[in-house]
Amino acid sequence: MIINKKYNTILCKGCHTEELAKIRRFVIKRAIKNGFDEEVAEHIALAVDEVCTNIIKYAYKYDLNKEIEIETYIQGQNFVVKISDEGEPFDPKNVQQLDMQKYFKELKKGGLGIQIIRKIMDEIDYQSANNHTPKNSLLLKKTIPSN
Amino acid sequence: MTKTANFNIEIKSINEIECIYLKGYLDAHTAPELEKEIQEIIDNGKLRILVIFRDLEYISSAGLGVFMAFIEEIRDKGGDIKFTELKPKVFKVFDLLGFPILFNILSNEEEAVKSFEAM
Repeated sequence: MIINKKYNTILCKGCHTEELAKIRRFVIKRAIKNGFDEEVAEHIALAVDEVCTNIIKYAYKYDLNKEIEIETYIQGQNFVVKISDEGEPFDPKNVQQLDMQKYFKELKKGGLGIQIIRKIMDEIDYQSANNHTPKNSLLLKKTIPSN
Repeated sequence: MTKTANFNIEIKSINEIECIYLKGYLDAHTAPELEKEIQEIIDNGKLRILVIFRDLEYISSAGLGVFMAFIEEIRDKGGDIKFTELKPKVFKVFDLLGFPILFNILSNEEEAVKSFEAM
């Protein structure tokens, strides 16, 4: 894993779940530096963990030849975490919001990560790979507290 | 007891209740260890499980998913999985998804052990 502090990016080659702890620590540091308290910073890191877990498990199927790139930056009032992958496109915005009462009643399994991402982040954008950009990008946005 | 760099599980039997003490970070990397331990408990015919979160710093959906995977089987067989002593930040993750509707969350270990006696 290459952490580039100057450009606030992580490049995780051969990304495995073992790297999740490092990714979370990177995101927490960046979020705190940009004005979030520790609790919110940890939540943003949880959302990023959920995205990376889904990429490693489902898009890459633990293929260690693939990479994940994570970049943080400010855009207007938002702190943005951009997560890029080279798997099959998957837009979490197309996943329906779960009715948790019903979910528990039917004792379903899986799909919880996307619900967590939605509850934590203020906005989510997705761009699938195309002729101009070879990777899919998911943008997780959280409004920076004003004080 | 199983242990990785940032996650640790200890299991003790108290009044025929399997008490699982979690420590550290429960994510997609460490969740399989917990899954294995709970599967072993069930395979040994033990169906009263109490998870003590006192020293757990972090949980992601992979950790929550472990409990979802077993709860139906355990309750069908007349047992239960209960939780106790969650740090506020860990409870918040449970609460985000409405887990307190499905799982019995008790304030301390002693009270939780007693709650099994009524079963």
